[in-house]
Amino acid sequence: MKINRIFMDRNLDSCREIDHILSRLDIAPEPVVSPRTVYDTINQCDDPVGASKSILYITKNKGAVVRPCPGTSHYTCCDYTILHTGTFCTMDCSYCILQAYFHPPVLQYFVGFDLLEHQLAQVFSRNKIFRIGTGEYTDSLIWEPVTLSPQFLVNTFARQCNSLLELKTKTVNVQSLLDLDHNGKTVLAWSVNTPAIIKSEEKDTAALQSRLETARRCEAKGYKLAFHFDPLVLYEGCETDYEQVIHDIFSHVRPDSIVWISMGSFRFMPSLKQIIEKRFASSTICYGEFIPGLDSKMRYFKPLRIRLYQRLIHLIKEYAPSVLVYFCMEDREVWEKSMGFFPDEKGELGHLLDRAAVSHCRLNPDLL
Amino acid sequence: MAPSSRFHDVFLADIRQDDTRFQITKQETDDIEYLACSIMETGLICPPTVWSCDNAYIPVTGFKRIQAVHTLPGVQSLVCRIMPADAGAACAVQAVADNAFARELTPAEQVRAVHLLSRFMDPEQMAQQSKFAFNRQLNPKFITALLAVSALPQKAIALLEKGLLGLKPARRLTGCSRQTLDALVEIFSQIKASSGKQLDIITCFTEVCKKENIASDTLFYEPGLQAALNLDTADPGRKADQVRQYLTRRRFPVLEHTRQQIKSCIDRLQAGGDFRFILPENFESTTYGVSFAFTTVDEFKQRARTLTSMADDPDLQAVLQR
Repeated sequence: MKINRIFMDRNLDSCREIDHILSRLDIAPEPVVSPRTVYDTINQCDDPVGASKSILYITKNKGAVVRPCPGTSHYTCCDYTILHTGTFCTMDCSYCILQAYFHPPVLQYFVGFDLLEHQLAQVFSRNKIFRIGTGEYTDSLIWEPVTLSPQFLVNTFARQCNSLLELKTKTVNVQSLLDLDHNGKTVLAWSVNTPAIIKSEEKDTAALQSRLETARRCEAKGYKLAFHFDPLVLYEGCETDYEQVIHDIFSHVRPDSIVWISMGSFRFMPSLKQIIEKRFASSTICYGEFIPGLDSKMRYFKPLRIRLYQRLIHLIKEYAPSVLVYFCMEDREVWEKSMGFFPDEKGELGHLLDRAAVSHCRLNPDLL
Repeated sequence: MAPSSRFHDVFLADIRQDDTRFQITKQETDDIEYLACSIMETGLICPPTVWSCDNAYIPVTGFKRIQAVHTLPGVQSLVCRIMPADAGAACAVQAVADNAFARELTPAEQVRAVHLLSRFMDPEQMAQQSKFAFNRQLNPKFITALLAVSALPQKAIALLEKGLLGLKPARRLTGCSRQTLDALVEIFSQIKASSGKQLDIITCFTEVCKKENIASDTLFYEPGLQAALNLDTADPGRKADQVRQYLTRRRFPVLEHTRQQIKSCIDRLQAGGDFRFILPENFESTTYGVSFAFTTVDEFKQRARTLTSMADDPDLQAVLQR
């Protein structure tokens, strides 16, 4: 992490949470009346996206803290719930959609455990299973070394039984979580990719081996795990490389520790291509055989996606026949040709995942 | 405030006709006989503008008029609007405006116009003056892009002038390496394609090179591309289609191969001409369509029977399985 400037909402009251962050980052914050100052500062830079990775804006979340995953049209969504704790990321993956999603992207950290606690209390009081993650608009654990937020969330989720917390990351930042009494309600999840892709496209992230070794440490502390093969990137020899990733996963952790494994091939809003070409000149990631998908995002030509999925799912099933493998945003044909079934009914995929959550994380089965 | 100028008789011998620094139109050898006749009959309706500089007069507007007057027997001078020596920038603006307010500038003229104006002002200033010079508002980013185009090699500019290279493709070329640029200019000099097709060709060409990490020359000299360029046809449009198809196949090998296979299947299925199949775009969706026409109930029944039997046709299976 290379934060070199901090802006802070001047309306924030001093609290333990803020003091903790500032003492760890050791940078004097610049109070601002409105986010406009932050936007303007970032927009004045030659590379606003790159610049915004080192400019932190500490503020309060003024929008919805708990919100349903937006999903995308025409493709099957898993009915995930997002806990909105911050935006953007200090790591620099070429394919990161957040580069094009926010205008401009701002590295925000939302303070306010009281607000989180209040919002989560409402979720915890409902008669419904929730799978909640913080990794939609940011990496779940980038702030772990300097904030109390991950600990707070793990502790908060430990005290209820209808919601699973998924912390999705490409880091190895778990130190403060290892000795917590998580009560099985937190799933630590890693986005995984081949070493070749991590090296060429996932700048400043942890190496695959480090991620898997960290997963093993977490498993030893009783945490349940998840892995996300997303984005799968097609290149010559990728099938063998991804198969090796699967071998590596199962040589590090036990199948019964894994709540689920998801897969999604690289897809992107057309506007991301220019950003990748400009910011990552040596990257060839957007020169695959992409076609406009039904949701207008660019996707690999379907038979190519299916071919890779089939191989990987076959191998995963050999290692872990009972682990739930699912697709993030794929359609019936892909499901049927790759998995042999399709969660047809509305909410069926979500229900499958809820069942996995209940059985692995000891959530209340009566809520299924 | 416009610089002070005056109208005065100027000796033709004092006008440097070969100095075309202010000319943004194509230097053509058009027949100016009719223009000369017109001037002889009705006089010079609109006097040319010249710039008084270095003890001579440099043409700013009215290049053809000056040329035409030159051909008139016995005429040794003509009335010109004379711009003072310190009015270089105003002359440049007038040279552009003289054309832009008469008609829309061609892409090549726009490029030459910004190049001319850039000798006197930066893109920001040019944008401020654009309403008066270009007869429309231009933004600095667009002007900067045009300036980049003006720096392309002469061969590319020549293509732009001939209409063989669109402005958008030309702008895209400014981001290419010299070797890629040379290869693409060579391709465009041998074909005739719309701006959209040119953009496709540039995109496919550059992306194949990047993806496969090959030099532009390597791709350019591939037998398949050379075969398309050397196609024995007088129709440069056909060549363009062949080039584009080749590069698309190179860029999307699996997709294009599948497309060809499915086309063969569909052609066989449609062989009788009674049915028309509608395929999902890029085969992403799984929704297919088929339509047929009929005039009688018997014909409808016949088509329905054929359609039913088609369900077991291996070609239909191949299309659906792709």
